[in-house]
Amino acid sequence: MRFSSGLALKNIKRKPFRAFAMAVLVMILSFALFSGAYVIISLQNGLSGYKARLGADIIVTPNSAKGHGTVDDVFLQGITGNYYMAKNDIDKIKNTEGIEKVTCQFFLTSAKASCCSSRVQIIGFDPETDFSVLPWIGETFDGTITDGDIVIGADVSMPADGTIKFYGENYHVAAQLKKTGTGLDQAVYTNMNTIKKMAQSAKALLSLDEFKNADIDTSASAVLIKVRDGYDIGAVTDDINIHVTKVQATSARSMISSVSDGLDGVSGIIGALTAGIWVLSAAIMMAAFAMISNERRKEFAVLSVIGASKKMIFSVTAFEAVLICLSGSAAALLMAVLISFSAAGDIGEMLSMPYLAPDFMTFVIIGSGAVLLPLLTGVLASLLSVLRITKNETGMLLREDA
Amino acid sequence: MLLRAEGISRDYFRNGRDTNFFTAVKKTDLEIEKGSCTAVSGRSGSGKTTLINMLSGLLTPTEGRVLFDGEDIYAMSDSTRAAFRNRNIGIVPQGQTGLKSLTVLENILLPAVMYGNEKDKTEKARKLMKQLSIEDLEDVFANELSGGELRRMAIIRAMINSPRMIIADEPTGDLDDISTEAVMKLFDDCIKNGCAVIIVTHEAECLSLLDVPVTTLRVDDGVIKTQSR
Ligand SMILES: Nc1ncnc2c1ncn2[C@@H]1O[C@H](COP(=O)(O)OP(=O)(O)O)[C@@H](O)[C@H]1O
Ligand SMILES: [Mg+2]
Repeated sequence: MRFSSGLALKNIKRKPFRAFAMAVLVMILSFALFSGAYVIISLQNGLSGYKARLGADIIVTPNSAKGHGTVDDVFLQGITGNYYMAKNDIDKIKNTEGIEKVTCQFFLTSAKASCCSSRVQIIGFDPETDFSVLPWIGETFDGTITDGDIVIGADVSMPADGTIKFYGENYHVAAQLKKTGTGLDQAVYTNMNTIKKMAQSAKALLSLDEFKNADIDTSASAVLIKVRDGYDIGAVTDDINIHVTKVQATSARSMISSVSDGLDGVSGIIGALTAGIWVLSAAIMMAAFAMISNERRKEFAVLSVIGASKKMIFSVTAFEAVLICLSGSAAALLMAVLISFSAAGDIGEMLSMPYLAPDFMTFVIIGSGAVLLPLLTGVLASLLSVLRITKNETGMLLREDA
Repeated sequence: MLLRAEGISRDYFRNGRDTNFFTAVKKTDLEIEKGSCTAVSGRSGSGKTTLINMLSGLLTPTEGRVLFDGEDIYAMSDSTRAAFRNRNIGIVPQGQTGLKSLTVLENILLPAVMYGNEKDKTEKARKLMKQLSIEDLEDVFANELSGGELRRMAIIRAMINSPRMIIADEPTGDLDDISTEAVMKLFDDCIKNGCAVIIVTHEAECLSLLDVPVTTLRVDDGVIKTQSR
C-alpha cells in the first residue's frame, strides 16, 4: 500500500501535465453530471411545488386579464396584474353545476413598497372558503391570520421591523411561506378584509383605471374551483365558458400540462446533453487511460521484473486514477457550487419554468454521484488497460522498446 | 541443487515456411548450483535471452518445468511468483530499465520498498554505488543518466535484496573497461557469498576477470551445449 501510493504520487509529480489533463477531463465529466442532474431535479421540484400549490381544478379570470398578467403569469412567473370580475358574474360561476368548493381571490399590485425593489403582487384570499393558500400557510405557521396581517412568499425579503407598508399603511408580517419555485414565491398574501382595505386606499391615493368600474367590496380577480367527484373537469370548464360571458375558465390540469410538457422537453434535452457528455468523456477517459498505459508497457515490465505482482501494478495505477479523479471532481463541485450560488434563480427564469433547488440531502446525493461515477470510470479504465498489458508475459514486454 | 530446468523449450508465434511457430530454445535440461557461475554465450538471435527469461520466471516455457529449490515456479500464482522473484532472483534485463519518475537511489531501493523491507538497505545501496562509481548520482532522476550509468544502477538494484540467484543479460555491453572490472568484482563477491550468478555475454574476456570457476553454456540456434572450463 505504501509502495503503491508512494510510487503513484511520484509518477504524478514527474508527469504533472499528464495528470492535469486527465483531471480536467474528469472535471468536465463531473460537472456535466452534477449540473445536468441538478437542473433536472430542480425543474421537477418546481413542477411538483406548482401542482401542490395550485390546489384547484379550475381557475376563472375575467377576459380583461388577457395580456395583463394572467393567472398563469402570476402563478408561474410572478408577473403582476390587476383585473376584476363583477359580483353577478361571480355568482353565475358559483351556480354552475358540479362544483364542490369555490373560493375567490383578489389581486392587487402594490406601487412602490418600502421593502421591495420591484412591485409585488398581493393576493387576497377568503379564509372562510379558501382551500388553496391556507394549507400552504399551515406548513410554516399555525396561528390564524387576522385582519391587518400579511404572509410573504419565500422570495420576498423579510423586513427588519416585521412590517411592510402598502399605500401608506403598515402591515404586520405574520409568517413567511415555504418555497415553491414558482411566481407564488414573490407574492404577498392577506385575507379578503385586509386586501379590500388596501384597495380602497389605493383607489384614494392613485386614480387607477382598473378601479373605475369595479366595486371593490364585491368583486374578485380569480375564482378557484374544486369540481365535485363524478363531474368532468373539462365539461365544467366548458360550461362556465359558455354560460358566463366576460370570463375565461381554465382547467388547472391544462395549465400544469403546458408546464410539464415544457418540462419534459427541457428535461429531455438536458438529460440527453448530460448523457452525451457523459458517454463522450467516459470514452475519452478510457482511451486516454489506454494510451497512457501503452506508454507505460516497459514501466510495468520493469516493475514485474523486480517483483511486483499484477495486483501491485494495478494498485499503483488505481491510486493515480483515484488521486486524479478526486481532484478533478473536487474542482467540478467547487465550480458547480459557485455557479449555483450566483445563478440559482436565473436558470428558472431563463427557462421561464418553475424551478426549485433541491434540499441539502439531494444536493449531497447528486454530488456524491458526480464524484463516484467518474471515479469508478477512471479506476475501471485503468484496470482494463493494465489488464490488457499485463496479460502479456513480462519476458515479452521487456523486448518492446519504449 | 538451487535451480533445475527439466526439458524446457520455447516457441514463438512466427509465420515460417511450413509452420506458424518458431522454436527459439530447443528442449533442454539444466542445473545451476548454489554459489556457481554460469556464462551464457552465443550469437545474436541464438536464444540466450529466451533461455534466461525462462529461468528467471519471466517467460513460461512451452514445455518443461523450472524448479527453484524444488518448487515449480510456473505453478505458482502470479502474486506468489512475484514475491518469490523479489526475494530470490535478482534480474538485470537487456536494455534500459530505469523508472523515470524515480531517482537513482529510489530505483535501487524499489525492490526492497515494494515489500516493506528497506530497513538498512540505504547503507548497502550507497556502498554498492560507490563501488560502481555512481555515488554522486544518488538524487539524479533516471531519465538523466547515460546508458552505462543506468546499467550500473540496474545491477545494484538486482543485488539490493541479496538474492540467491542473479541473472544478468549482457550486463557489460555498454560499460567501459574500468566499470566492467568493478561489476565483475561485485559478481565475484556475490558468488563467494553463495549466490548463483548467470551472465549472458559474448565478450569472453570479461569472464577472465572472475576469480571463480565458470561453466559456459553455448547457445547455437536454440541448442544448448555445456562446456566446462
Ligand atoms: N516475441 C517474439 N516473437 C517471435 N520471435 C521472437 C520473439 N522474441 C524472440 N524471437 C526470436 O527468437 C530468437 C531468439 O531470440 P533471443 O532469445 O532474444 O536471442 P538472443 O538473446 O540470443 O539474441 C530470435 O531469432 C528472435 O528473432
Ligand atoms: Mg538477448
